[in-house]
Amino acid sequence: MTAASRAKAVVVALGNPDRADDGVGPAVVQALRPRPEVEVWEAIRGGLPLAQALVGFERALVVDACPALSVGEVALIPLFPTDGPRTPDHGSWLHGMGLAQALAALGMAGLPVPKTWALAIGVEGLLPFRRGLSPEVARAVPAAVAEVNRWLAN
Amino acid sequence: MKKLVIDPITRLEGHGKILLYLDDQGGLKGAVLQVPELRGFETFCRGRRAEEMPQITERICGVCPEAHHLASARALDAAYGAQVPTTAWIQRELFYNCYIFADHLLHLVFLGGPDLLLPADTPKANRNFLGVLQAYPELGREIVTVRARAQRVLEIIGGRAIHPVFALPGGVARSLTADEGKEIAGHTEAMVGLAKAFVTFFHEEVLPDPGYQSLLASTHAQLPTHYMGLVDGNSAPHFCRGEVRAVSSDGHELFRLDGAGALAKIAERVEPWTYVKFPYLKEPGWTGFEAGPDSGIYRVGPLARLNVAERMATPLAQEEYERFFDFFGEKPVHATFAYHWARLVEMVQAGEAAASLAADKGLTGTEIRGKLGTPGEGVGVVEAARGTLFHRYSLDENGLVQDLDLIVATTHNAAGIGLSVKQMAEDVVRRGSLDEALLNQIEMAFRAYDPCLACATHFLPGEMPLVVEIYDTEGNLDRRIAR
Repeated sequence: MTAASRAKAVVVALGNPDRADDGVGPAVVQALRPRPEVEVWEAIRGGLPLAQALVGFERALVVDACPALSVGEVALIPLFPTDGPRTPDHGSWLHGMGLAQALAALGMAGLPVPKTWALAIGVEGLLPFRRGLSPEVARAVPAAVAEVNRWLAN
Repeated sequence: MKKLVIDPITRLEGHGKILLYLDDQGGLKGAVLQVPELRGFETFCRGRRAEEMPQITERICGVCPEAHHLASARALDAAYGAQVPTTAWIQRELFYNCYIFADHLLHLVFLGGPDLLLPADTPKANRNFLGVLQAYPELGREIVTVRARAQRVLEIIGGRAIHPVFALPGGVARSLTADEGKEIAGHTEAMVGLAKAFVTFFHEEVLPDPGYQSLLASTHAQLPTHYMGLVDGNSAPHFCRGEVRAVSSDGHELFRLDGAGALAKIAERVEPWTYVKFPYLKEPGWTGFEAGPDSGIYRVGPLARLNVAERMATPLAQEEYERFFDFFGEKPVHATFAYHWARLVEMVQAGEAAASLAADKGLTGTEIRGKLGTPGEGVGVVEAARGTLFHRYSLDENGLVQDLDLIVATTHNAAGIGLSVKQMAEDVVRRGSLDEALLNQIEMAFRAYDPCLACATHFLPGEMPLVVEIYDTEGNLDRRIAR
């Protein structure tokens, strides 16, 4: 699909359903009602590859697990704060280029990057290989779905 | 004795840490890389249907799912005794060369780029990929655009924008249309154009730089290990087919075998202080954490692949390969910072090979899946961008996974990376610096390998802060440096 034929908005679920609560992103988008004007992806790859795939969309929402939040907490976070993208003040570290950094790089190169938000759902820091969400995170899915729908309505 | 820990924060058990052990006089006693281990993965996979494995294994890694996807499919080819049709191979190889091209370009510009492309005295605030883009805006724009075109080929063949779903045991999932073939050809021509431009840029702007020259020549970055990588029938590097060749630290051939044969040549060293196993060559065997002809420690990845090859597979890459070895005047090349240049040589081959495959009329053929035989055991081996990747599966009569082993590139390199880190740290410690300079130099040695601490890259917040902690002999925190 070319950028010209794409929908204006995309919702990307990041996460590995084989790693327990890391699969919360896919679980959220699977609960969404299909909308022809919105693309919905499931992926496991972030950083520059994801940023490049987002080029051409006007708005993007990345739904992902986040160990920095309390388990089950849901938070909508702009990846492009008004004071500009957050960038590290050091040399790049391994493959750790975050999505915000990658979008900033593409923007600097003149590509039309979307306004991007992250919908973060709190999970434990260490996740086992297992299919299925924990009860605490599963209970957060309806709230996350409602948040996605609010984002789409705005 | 003090223990100094460099810890990129990941969500994985054990993290990926560099541990430096200092003695009471402030000297360096030892250095160790702890690579994250996917504990529980083998257990999770046992009993799964074999055809699920290319999807399951690619999801364990947010960095190189393409490599796991194809290694898994190749292991299943072998386990089922499948003959993969020509068209399926063309698709697979084209896909894989685009992956190598895009991944190497990412490292050369964005990840290793600050080390390679910016002067050593670049202020800390600009020593990152944005600094690279500011220093070279036109080239940066072209790189971003062409990398996106390589990514587009991955999407067309792979079936998804972000991770592939196309390779199956015995072949691939679908034929490509003529229009898709035409679009792919256009993208691969642009890749060759960028590869040429980048070679020119490298020789005009990077190689003459005294900073890079001193890194290449540094006595603290010469590591005479053995090397291993895939080669084709002409002994040129191949990224996803061929035989595994190993050469010794003085360049003579140790073995040249298929994936199963090569795996049989490798043993894994267990150390009491880490759950990570250190692969080494059974012959000459384990002699401790040291390089040299009597040690079994070997390295993989771009430098290793050039060292095990006799030539490159494509003309422009061959020219650059000759410049590479002419510059060093020896083979094998042991300079750790030559990994960057070797990466460029391989990127050229990947671009040229992709263009050649895209021009092959067989690309849009319709015979895409070979017959599968009785399930058994199979080994799949490919070259991930950062080194050799083995998948071994044992299937029961119903095609369910009974047992499996994965040896990934960064694990092969774990001992070598630890030794390189030790070399660089020794230099820094000898000069009495244990702060920012330590971080920079160790990171540079580490990054040259393009190591992958899988699975952490997409996890919010999506970055890996660097933390250094120094402990005293009793285990009390002495100092913490974070950035």
